[in-house]
Amino acid sequence: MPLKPRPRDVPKIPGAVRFYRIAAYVTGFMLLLLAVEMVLKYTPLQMEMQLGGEGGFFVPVDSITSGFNLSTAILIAHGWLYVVYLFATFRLWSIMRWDLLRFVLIALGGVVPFLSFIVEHRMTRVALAQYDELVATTAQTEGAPA
Amino acid sequence: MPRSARSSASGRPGSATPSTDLNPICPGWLADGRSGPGRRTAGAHGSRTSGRYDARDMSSPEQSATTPRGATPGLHPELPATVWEVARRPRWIGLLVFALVVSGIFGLLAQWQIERSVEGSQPINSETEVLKPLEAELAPQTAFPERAAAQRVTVTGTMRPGDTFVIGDRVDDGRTGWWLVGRLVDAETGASLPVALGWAETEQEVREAAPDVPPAGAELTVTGRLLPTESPSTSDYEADRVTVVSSAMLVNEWDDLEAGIYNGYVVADDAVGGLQPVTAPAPEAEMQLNWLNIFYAIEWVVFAGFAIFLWFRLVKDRFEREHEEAAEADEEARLAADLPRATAPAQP
Repeated sequence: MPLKPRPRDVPKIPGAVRFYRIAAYVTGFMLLLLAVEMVLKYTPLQMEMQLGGEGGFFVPVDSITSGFNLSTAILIAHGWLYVVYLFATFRLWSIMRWDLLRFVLIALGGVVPFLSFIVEHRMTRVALAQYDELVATTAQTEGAPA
Repeated sequence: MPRSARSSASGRPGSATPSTDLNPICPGWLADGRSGPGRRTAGAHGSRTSGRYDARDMSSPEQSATTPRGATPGLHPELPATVWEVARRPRWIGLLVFALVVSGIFGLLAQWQIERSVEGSQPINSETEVLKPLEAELAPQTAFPERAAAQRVTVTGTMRPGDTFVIGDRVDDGRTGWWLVGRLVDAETGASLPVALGWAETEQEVREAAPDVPPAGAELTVTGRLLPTESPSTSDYEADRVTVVSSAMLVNEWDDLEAGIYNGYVVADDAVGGLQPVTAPAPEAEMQLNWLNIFYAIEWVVFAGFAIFLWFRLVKDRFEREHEEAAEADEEARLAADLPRATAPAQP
Protein backbone atom coordinates (compact mmCIF):
# COMPACT_ATOMS: atom_id res chain seq x y z
CA MET A 1 0.00 0.00 0.00
CA PRO A 2 1.71 3.18 -1.10
CA LEU A 3 1.57 6.14 1.21
CA LYS A 4 0.56 9.48 -0.16
CA PRO A 5 2.38 12.74 0.34
CA ARG A 6 1.33 14.65 3.42
CA PRO A 7 -0.87 17.61 2.55
CA ARG A 8 1.63 20.04 4.07
CA ASP A 9 4.27 18.57 1.72
CA VAL A 10 2.16 18.88 -1.42
CA PRO A 11 3.20 22.48 -2.21
CA LYS A 12 6.84 21.37 -1.96
CA ILE A 13 6.49 18.80 -4.73
CA PRO A 14 7.12 21.05 -7.79
CA GLY A 15 10.25 22.48 -6.17
CA ALA A 16 11.52 19.08 -5.16
CA VAL A 17 10.90 17.78 -8.67
CA ARG A 18 12.76 20.72 -10.18
CA PHE A 19 15.71 20.26 -7.84
CA TYR A 20 15.74 16.54 -8.60
CA ARG A 21 15.57 17.13 -12.35
CA ILE A 22 18.47 19.58 -12.35
CA ALA A 23 20.54 17.25 -10.17
CA ALA A 24 19.65 14.32 -12.43
CA TYR A 25 20.70 16.13 -15.59
CA VAL A 26 23.93 17.39 -14.05
CA THR A 27 24.79 13.98 -12.63
CA GLY A 28 23.87 12.24 -15.88
CA PHE A 29 26.08 14.61 -17.83
CA MET A 30 28.96 14.29 -15.38
CA LEU A 31 28.63 10.52 -15.50
CA LEU A 32 28.97 10.58 -19.28
CA LEU A 33 32.07 12.77 -18.95
CA LEU A 34 33.39 10.32 -16.41
CA ALA A 35 32.72 7.42 -18.77
CA VAL A 36 34.64 9.22 -21.53
CA GLU A 37 37.47 9.85 -19.12
CA MET A 38 37.58 6.21 -18.03
CA VAL A 39 37.73 5.12 -21.65
CA LEU A 40 40.59 7.52 -22.32
CA LYS A 41 42.48 6.53 -19.21
CA TYR A 42 42.06 2.79 -18.91
CA THR A 43 42.06 1.68 -22.50
CA PRO A 44 45.31 1.52 -24.52
CA LEU A 45 44.81 5.22 -25.24
CA GLN A 46 46.15 5.98 -21.73
CA MET A 47 45.21 9.63 -21.95
CA GLU A 48 44.26 12.27 -19.44
CA MET A 49 42.74 15.67 -20.04
CA GLN A 50 44.28 18.92 -18.97
CA LEU A 51 43.62 22.61 -19.34
CA GLY A 52 46.32 25.12 -20.03
CA GLY A 53 49.29 22.84 -19.62
CA GLU A 54 52.06 21.91 -21.97
CA GLY A 55 51.35 19.33 -24.64
CA GLY A 56 47.76 20.13 -25.51
CA PHE A 57 44.44 18.91 -24.17
CA PHE A 58 45.04 15.16 -24.26
CA VAL A 59 48.23 14.04 -22.57
CA PRO A 60 49.52 10.65 -21.43
CA VAL A 61 48.43 9.45 -17.99
CA ASP A 62 50.39 10.86 -15.02
CA SER A 63 52.25 13.37 -17.14
CA ILE A 64 50.34 16.45 -16.03
CA THR A 65 52.60 18.86 -14.19
CA SER A 66 51.83 22.38 -15.33
CA GLY A 67 48.24 22.26 -16.53
CA PHE A 68 44.97 21.97 -14.68
CA ASN A 69 44.16 18.28 -14.39
CA LEU A 70 40.68 18.12 -15.86
CA SER A 71 40.42 14.36 -15.37
CA THR A 72 40.89 14.54 -11.63
CA ALA A 73 38.57 17.54 -11.48
CA ILE A 74 35.86 15.50 -13.19
CA LEU A 75 36.34 12.69 -10.69
CA ILE A 76 35.99 15.00 -7.70
CA ALA A 77 33.14 17.00 -9.19
CA HIS A 78 31.20 13.90 -10.14
CA GLY A 79 31.70 12.44 -6.67
CA TRP A 80 30.19 15.44 -4.94
CA LEU A 81 27.52 16.17 -7.50
CA TYR A 82 26.37 12.63 -6.98
CA VAL A 83 25.99 13.40 -3.29
CA VAL A 84 23.84 16.39 -4.28
CA TYR A 85 21.86 14.13 -6.61
CA LEU A 86 21.38 11.64 -3.80
CA PHE A 87 20.16 14.41 -1.55
CA ALA A 88 17.72 15.69 -4.19
CA THR A 89 16.51 12.14 -4.72
CA PHE A 90 16.06 11.61 -1.03
CA ARG A 91 14.12 14.82 -0.67
CA LEU A 92 11.73 13.99 -3.49
CA TRP A 93 11.40 10.42 -2.32
CA SER A 94 10.66 11.55 1.23
CA ILE A 95 8.01 14.01 0.15
CA MET A 96 6.38 11.57 -2.25
CA ARG A 97 6.66 8.78 0.32
CA TRP A 98 7.57 6.27 -2.33
CA ASP A 99 8.84 2.81 -1.42
CA LEU A 100 12.47 1.96 -0.78
CA LEU A 101 12.93 0.10 -4.05
CA ARG A 102 12.22 3.25 -5.99
CA PHE A 103 14.82 5.12 -3.98
CA VAL A 104 17.40 2.47 -4.80
CA LEU A 105 16.43 2.65 -8.47
CA ILE A 106 16.82 6.42 -8.61
CA ALA A 107 20.10 6.27 -6.69
CA LEU A 108 21.43 3.75 -9.22
CA GLY A 109 20.47 6.19 -11.95
CA GLY A 110 23.45 8.29 -10.99
CA VAL A 111 25.85 5.38 -11.30
CA VAL A 112 24.83 3.67 -14.54
CA PRO A 113 25.48 5.82 -17.60
CA PHE A 114 22.30 7.05 -19.33
CA LEU A 115 20.07 5.45 -16.68
CA SER A 116 19.64 8.78 -14.91
CA PHE A 117 17.96 10.28 -17.97
CA ILE A 118 15.48 7.42 -18.25
CA VAL A 119 14.78 7.35 -14.53
CA GLU A 120 14.50 11.12 -14.40
CA HIS A 121 11.93 11.14 -17.18
CA ARG A 122 9.80 8.49 -15.52
CA MET A 123 10.04 9.80 -11.98
CA THR A 124 9.23 13.34 -12.99
CA ARG A 125 6.16 12.12 -14.81
CA VAL A 126 5.03 9.97 -11.90
CA ALA A 127 5.66 12.68 -9.34
CA LEU A 128 3.91 15.41 -11.29
CA ALA A 129 0.96 13.16 -12.10
CA GLN A 130 0.61 12.39 -8.42
CA TYR A 131 0.92 16.06 -7.63
CA ASP A 132 -1.75 17.06 -10.14
CA GLU A 133 -4.05 14.45 -8.73
CA LEU A 134 -3.49 15.68 -5.19
CA VAL A 135 -4.05 19.30 -6.14
CA ALA A 136 -7.19 18.42 -8.04
CA THR A 137 -8.64 16.40 -5.20
CA THR A 138 -7.73 19.01 -2.62
CA ALA A 139 -9.52 21.63 -4.67
CA GLN A 140 -12.50 19.30 -4.92
CA THR A 141 -12.84 18.71 -1.20
CA GLU A 142 -12.29 22.33 -0.37
CA GLY A 143 -14.90 23.30 -2.87
CA ALA A 144 -17.39 20.59 -1.95
CA PRO A 145 -18.63 21.72 1.48
CA ALA A 146 -18.96 25.34 0.36
CA MET B 1 -18.25 -5.60 10.75
CA PRO B 2 -15.70 -3.30 9.21
CA ARG B 3 -16.29 -4.97 5.90
CA SER B 4 -19.89 -3.94 5.79
CA ALA B 5 -18.87 -0.51 6.90
CA ARG B 6 -16.47 -0.31 4.00
CA SER B 7 -18.93 -1.54 1.45
CA SER B 8 -21.36 1.10 2.53
CA ALA B 9 -18.57 3.64 2.43
CA SER B 10 -17.58 2.74 -1.09
CA GLY B 11 -21.17 2.95 -2.13
CA ARG B 12 -21.36 6.32 -0.55
CA PRO B 13 -20.56 8.65 -3.46
CA GLY B 14 -23.38 7.30 -5.52
CA SER B 15 -25.92 6.72 -2.80
CA ALA B 16 -26.47 10.18 -1.39
CA THR B 17 -25.70 13.81 -2.10
CA PRO B 18 -22.04 14.60 -1.59
CA SER B 19 -22.68 17.43 0.83
CA THR B 20 -24.59 15.39 3.39
CA ASP B 21 -22.06 12.68 2.97
CA LEU B 22 -18.99 14.75 3.52
CA ASN B 23 -20.21 17.02 6.21
CA PRO B 24 -20.29 14.51 9.02
CA ILE B 25 -16.67 13.72 8.29
CA CYS B 26 -15.47 17.28 8.56
CA PRO B 27 -15.48 17.49 12.36
CA GLY B 28 -13.40 14.37 12.36
CA TRP B 29 -10.64 15.96 10.30
CA LEU B 30 -10.65 19.07 12.37
CA ALA B 31 -10.71 17.27 15.69
CA ASP B 32 -7.72 15.09 14.96
CA GLY B 33 -4.70 16.65 13.33
CA ARG B 34 -3.11 13.31 12.52
CA SER B 35 -6.06 11.58 10.97
CA GLY B 36 -7.24 14.74 9.28
CA PRO B 37 -4.74 15.10 6.44
CA GLY B 38 -4.68 11.42 5.63
CA ARG B 39 -8.39 11.26 5.64
CA ARG B 40 -8.86 14.25 3.46
CA THR B 41 -6.32 13.02 0.93
CA ALA B 42 -7.84 9.59 0.76
CA GLY B 43 -11.46 10.59 0.74
CA ALA B 44 -10.90 13.51 -1.54
CA HIS B 45 -10.04 11.32 -4.47
CA GLY B 46 -13.68 10.85 -5.14
CA SER B 47 -15.02 8.26 -7.48
CA ARG B 48 -11.88 8.08 -9.62
CA THR B 49 -9.67 6.76 -6.88
CA SER B 50 -12.28 5.22 -4.67
CA GLY B 51 -11.11 1.80 -5.80
CA ARG B 52 -7.62 2.50 -4.56
CA TYR B 53 -8.99 3.89 -1.38
CA ASP B 54 -10.87 0.67 -0.70
CA ALA B 55 -7.85 -1.49 -1.45
CA ARG B 56 -5.93 0.58 0.99
CA ASP B 57 -8.32 -0.16 3.78
CA MET B 58 -8.50 -3.85 2.98
CA SER B 59 -4.78 -4.22 3.47
CA SER B 60 -5.05 -3.69 7.18
CA PRO B 61 -7.76 -6.08 8.22
CA GLU B 62 -5.93 -7.03 11.38
CA GLN B 63 -6.19 -3.51 12.59
CA SER B 64 -9.78 -3.06 11.63
CA ALA B 65 -10.64 -6.32 13.27
CA THR B 66 -9.21 -5.35 16.62
CA THR B 67 -10.36 -1.78 16.49
CA PRO B 68 -13.54 -1.16 18.41
CA ARG B 69 -16.11 0.76 16.48
CA GLY B 70 -15.71 4.50 16.89
CA ALA B 71 -12.37 4.28 18.69
CA THR B 72 -10.13 7.30 18.37
CA PRO B 73 -6.52 6.81 17.16
CA GLY B 74 -5.03 7.61 20.56
CA LEU B 75 -6.89 4.74 22.15
CA HIS B 76 -5.61 1.95 19.92
CA PRO B 77 -3.71 -0.25 22.35
CA GLU B 78 -1.90 -2.14 19.59
CA LEU B 79 -0.50 0.98 17.99
CA PRO B 80 3.11 1.84 18.79
CA ALA B 81 3.28 4.82 21.13
CA THR B 82 6.67 5.93 19.90
CA VAL B 83 8.87 5.44 16.88
CA TRP B 84 11.24 3.45 19.08
CA GLU B 85 8.58 0.86 19.72
CA VAL B 86 8.59 0.16 16.00
CA ALA B 87 12.37 0.19 15.97
CA ARG B 88 12.51 -2.51 18.65
CA ARG B 89 10.56 -5.02 16.60
CA PRO B 90 12.70 -7.95 15.40
CA ARG B 91 12.16 -7.04 11.75
CA TRP B 92 13.44 -3.52 12.27
CA ILE B 93 16.31 -4.66 14.47
CA GLY B 94 17.25 -7.00 11.64
CA LEU B 95 17.11 -4.13 9.18
CA LEU B 96 19.17 -2.02 11.55
CA VAL B 97 21.81 -4.74 11.59
CA PHE B 98 21.72 -4.70 7.82
CA ALA B 99 22.01 -0.90 7.74
CA LEU B 100 24.95 -1.13 10.14
CA VAL B 101 26.64 -3.72 7.96
CA VAL B 102 26.18 -1.54 4.88
CA SER B 103 27.38 1.46 6.84
CA GLY B 104 30.36 -0.55 8.04
CA ILE B 105 31.27 -1.50 4.48
CA PHE B 106 31.07 2.16 3.50
CA GLY B 107 33.25 2.95 6.49
CA LEU B 108 35.82 0.42 5.33
CA LEU B 109 35.73 1.96 1.87
CA ALA B 110 36.37 5.34 3.47
CA GLN B 111 39.30 3.89 5.37
CA TRP B 112 40.63 2.32 2.20
CA GLN B 113 40.46 5.68 0.44
CA ILE B 114 42.29 7.36 3.30
CA GLU B 115 44.99 4.72 3.12
CA ARG B 116 45.26 5.28 -0.59
CA SER B 117 45.49 9.03 -0.08
CA VAL B 118 48.71 8.72 1.95
CA GLU B 119 50.09 5.82 -0.04
CA GLY B 120 52.99 6.80 -2.27
CA SER B 121 53.64 9.84 -0.18
CA GLN B 122 55.40 7.84 2.48
CA PRO B 123 59.19 7.73 2.54
CA ILE B 124 60.75 4.64 1.02
CA ASN B 125 62.48 3.89 4.26
CA SER B 126 60.76 4.83 7.48
CA GLU B 127 63.66 3.65 9.63
CA THR B 128 66.34 6.08 8.54
CA GLU B 129 66.70 7.35 12.11
CA VAL B 130 67.30 3.88 13.55
CA LEU B 131 71.04 3.37 13.92
CA LYS B 132 72.19 0.33 11.94
CA PRO B 133 75.56 -1.21 11.12
CA LEU B 134 76.84 0.02 7.77
CA GLU B 135 77.39 -3.50 6.52
CA ALA B 136 73.70 -4.31 6.96
CA GLU B 137 72.75 -1.48 4.63
CA LEU B 138 75.42 -1.44 1.98
CA ALA B 139 77.93 -3.99 0.70
CA PRO B 140 81.20 -2.84 -0.86
CA GLN B 141 81.33 -2.66 -4.63
CA THR B 142 77.57 -2.86 -5.06
CA ALA B 143 75.06 -0.38 -6.35
CA PHE B 144 73.64 1.90 -3.68
CA PRO B 145 70.14 0.68 -2.80
CA GLU B 146 67.55 3.44 -2.76
CA ARG B 147 66.24 2.52 0.65
CA ALA B 148 69.66 2.93 2.26
CA ALA B 149 69.75 6.64 1.41
CA ALA B 150 70.04 8.87 4.48
CA GLN B 151 70.13 5.86 6.78
CA ARG B 152 71.79 6.46 10.15
CA VAL B 153 74.65 4.00 10.39
CA THR B 154 77.55 3.11 12.58
CA VAL B 155 80.80 1.71 11.25
CA THR B 156 84.02 0.66 12.97
CA GLY B 157 87.43 0.83 11.31
CA THR B 158 90.65 2.75 11.04
CA MET B 159 91.38 6.00 9.27
CA ARG B 160 93.98 6.39 6.54
CA PRO B 161 95.03 10.03 7.25
CA GLY B 162 97.19 10.12 4.16
CA ASP B 163 94.17 9.75 1.94
CA THR B 164 92.28 12.65 3.46
CA PHE B 165 91.24 15.24 0.92
CA VAL B 166 89.43 18.55 0.72
CA ILE B 167 86.53 19.37 -1.55
CA GLY B 168 85.01 22.73 -2.28
CA ASP B 169 81.73 24.22 -3.31
CA ARG B 170 79.84 22.43 -0.54
CA VAL B 171 76.66 24.15 0.57
CA ASP B 172 75.92 23.67 4.22
CA ASP B 173 72.78 25.16 5.67
CA GLY B 174 72.71 27.78 2.93
CA ARG B 175 76.41 28.74 3.17
CA THR B 176 78.99 27.62 0.67
CA GLY B 177 82.19 26.19 2.10
CA TRP B 178 84.59 23.27 2.18
CA TRP B 179 84.53 19.70 3.42
CA LEU B 180 87.22 17.54 4.86
CA VAL B 181 86.76 13.98 3.65
CA GLY B 182 88.65 11.05 5.16
CA ARG B 183 89.11 7.44 4.23
CA LEU B 184 87.89 4.87 6.72
CA VAL B 185 88.82 1.25 6.23
CA ASP B 186 85.97 -0.87 7.51
CA ALA B 187 87.31 -3.32 10.09
CA GLU B 188 84.72 -5.89 9.14
CA THR B 189 84.94 -5.92 5.35
CA GLY B 190 88.25 -4.19 4.74
CA ALA B 191 86.57 -1.98 2.16
CA SER B 192 87.13 1.75 2.10
CA LEU B 193 84.49 4.29 2.94
CA PRO B 194 84.67 8.05 2.39
CA VAL B 195 83.65 9.93 5.52
CA ALA B 196 82.73 13.61 5.59
CA LEU B 197 84.63 14.78 8.65
CA GLY B 198 83.50 18.40 8.85
CA TRP B 199 82.71 21.66 7.19
CA ALA B 200 84.23 25.14 7.27
CA GLU B 201 83.64 28.31 5.35
CA THR B 202 87.22 28.63 4.06
CA GLU B 203 89.58 26.13 2.51
CA GLN B 204 92.24 27.29 4.94
CA GLU B 205 90.25 26.20 8.00
CA VAL B 206 89.59 22.82 6.50
CA ARG B 207 93.23 22.22 5.61
CA GLU B 208 94.24 23.20 9.14
CA ALA B 209 91.93 20.57 10.58
CA ALA B 210 93.37 17.77 8.44
CA PRO B 211 96.12 16.85 10.96
CA ASP B 212 93.39 16.21 13.56
CA VAL B 213 92.15 13.17 11.66
CA PRO B 214 92.68 10.15 13.94
CA PRO B 215 95.90 8.34 13.16
CA ALA B 216 96.11 5.10 11.24
CA GLY B 217 95.88 1.98 13.36
CA ALA B 218 93.60 3.51 15.98
CA GLU B 219 90.29 1.75 15.66
CA LEU B 220 87.34 4.07 15.97
CA THR B 221 83.63 3.98 15.49
CA VAL B 222 82.01 6.54 13.24
CA THR B 223 78.35 7.32 13.56
CA GLY B 224 76.56 9.29 10.90
CA ARG B 225 74.25 9.39 7.93
CA LEU B 226 74.87 7.22 4.90
CA LEU B 227 74.48 8.93 1.55
CA PRO B 228 74.87 7.63 -1.98
CA THR B 229 78.07 8.38 -3.81
CA GLU B 230 78.04 11.40 -6.08
CA SER B 231 78.69 11.46 -9.80
CA PRO B 232 82.20 12.39 -10.85
CA SER B 233 82.33 15.81 -12.40
CA THR B 234 84.17 16.37 -15.70
CA SER B 235 84.20 20.10 -15.20
CA ASP B 236 85.98 19.51 -11.89
CA TYR B 237 88.56 17.41 -13.65
CA GLU B 238 89.12 20.09 -16.22
CA ALA B 239 89.36 22.81 -13.55
CA ASP B 240 91.62 20.59 -11.46
CA ARG B 241 89.48 20.74 -8.35
CA VAL B 242 87.14 18.47 -6.47
CA THR B 243 83.60 19.29 -5.41
CA VAL B 244 82.06 15.83 -5.10
CA VAL B 245 82.42 12.70 -2.99
CA SER B 246 82.61 10.18 -5.79
CA SER B 247 83.72 6.62 -5.23
CA ALA B 248 84.27 6.24 -8.96
CA MET B 249 86.82 9.03 -8.76
CA LEU B 250 88.37 7.86 -5.50
CA VAL B 251 89.12 4.47 -6.97
CA ASN B 252 91.77 6.25 -9.00
CA GLU B 253 93.04 8.30 -6.06
CA TRP B 254 93.34 5.70 -3.33
CA ASP B 255 95.69 2.72 -3.16
CA ASP B 256 95.18 -0.69 -1.57
CA LEU B 257 91.60 -1.09 -2.68
CA GLU B 258 91.68 -4.89 -2.94
CA ALA B 259 88.75 -5.16 -0.54
CA GLY B 260 86.81 -2.64 -2.61
CA ILE B 261 85.11 0.63 -1.93
CA TYR B 262 81.62 1.54 -0.85
CA ASN B 263 79.41 3.29 -3.35
CA GLY B 264 78.37 5.75 -0.70
CA TYR B 265 79.78 7.94 2.02
CA VAL B 266 78.99 8.69 5.62
CA VAL B 267 78.51 12.17 7.01
CA ALA B 268 80.02 11.86 10.48
CA ASP B 269 78.09 13.26 13.44
CA ASP B 270 81.28 14.49 15.05
CA ALA B 271 83.65 16.76 13.17
CA VAL B 272 87.39 16.65 13.58
CA GLY B 273 89.47 19.59 14.78
CA GLY B 274 87.66 22.88 14.82
CA LEU B 275 85.34 22.03 11.95
CA GLN B 276 81.59 22.03 12.09
CA PRO B 277 79.79 18.78 11.57
CA VAL B 278 78.32 18.62 8.09
CA THR B 279 74.60 19.20 8.14
CA ALA B 280 72.77 16.06 7.07
CA PRO B 281 69.13 16.33 8.00
CA ALA B 282 66.71 13.44 8.12
CA PRO B 283 64.77 13.03 4.88
CA GLU B 284 61.49 14.87 5.01
CA ALA B 285 58.52 12.60 4.85
CA GLU B 286 56.70 14.15 1.95
CA MET B 287 53.16 13.92 3.13
CA GLN B 288 51.63 15.01 -0.09
CA LEU B 289 48.06 13.91 0.33
CA ASN B 290 46.01 12.69 -2.55
CA TRP B 291 42.98 14.95 -2.30
CA LEU B 292 40.92 12.90 -4.68
CA ASN B 293 41.06 9.99 -2.25
CA ILE B 294 40.43 12.27 0.72
CA PHE B 295 37.25 13.53 -0.91
CA TYR B 296 36.17 10.01 -1.72
CA ALA B 297 36.80 9.03 1.88
CA ILE B 298 34.58 11.86 3.12
CA GLU B 299 31.92 10.78 0.65
CA TRP B 300 31.94 7.25 1.92
CA VAL B 301 31.54 8.56 5.45
CA VAL B 302 28.54 10.57 4.26
CA PHE B 303 27.07 7.46 2.65
CA ALA B 304 27.72 5.43 5.79
CA GLY B 305 25.79 7.97 7.84
CA PHE B 306 23.07 8.02 5.24
CA ALA B 307 22.53 4.25 5.47
CA ILE B 308 21.73 4.61 9.17
CA PHE B 309 19.57 7.65 8.60
CA LEU B 310 17.62 5.84 5.89
CA TRP B 311 16.84 3.07 8.34
CA PHE B 312 15.51 5.60 10.81
CA ARG B 313 13.41 7.21 8.12
CA LEU B 314 11.86 3.86 7.20
CA VAL B 315 11.07 3.11 10.83
CA LYS B 316 9.42 6.50 11.17
CA ASP B 317 7.46 5.89 7.99
CA ARG B 318 6.26 2.58 9.31
CA PHE B 319 5.21 4.20 12.57
CA GLU B 320 3.30 6.94 10.81
CA ARG B 321 1.71 4.51 8.41
CA GLU B 322 0.32 2.40 11.22
CA HIS B 323 -1.19 5.44 12.84
CA GLU B 324 -2.66 6.68 9.63
CA GLU B 325 -4.12 3.32 8.83
CA ALA B 326 -5.67 3.15 12.27
CA ALA B 327 -7.05 6.63 11.84
CA GLU B 328 -8.58 5.67 8.56
CA ALA B 329 -10.05 2.57 10.08
CA ASP B 330 -11.54 4.81 12.74
CA GLU B 331 -13.05 7.03 10.14
CA GLU B 332 -14.48 4.00 8.44
CA ALA B 333 -15.93 2.82 11.71
CA ARG B 334 -17.34 6.24 12.42
CA LEU B 335 -18.86 6.39 8.97
CA ALA B 336 -20.34 2.97 9.43
CA ALA B 337 -21.87 4.12 12.69
CA ASP B 338 -23.19 7.35 11.21
CA LEU B 339 -24.28 6.22 7.83
CA PRO B 340 -27.16 3.97 8.81
CA ARG B 341 -28.76 7.03 10.36
CA ALA B 342 -27.91 9.43 7.55
CA THR B 343 -28.56 7.14 4.64
CA ALA B 344 -30.76 4.46 6.06
CA PRO B 345 -32.06 3.16 2.74
CA ALA B 346 -28.55 2.31 1.58
CA GLN B 347 -28.10 -0.22 4.38
CA PRO B 348 -29.87 -3.54 3.75
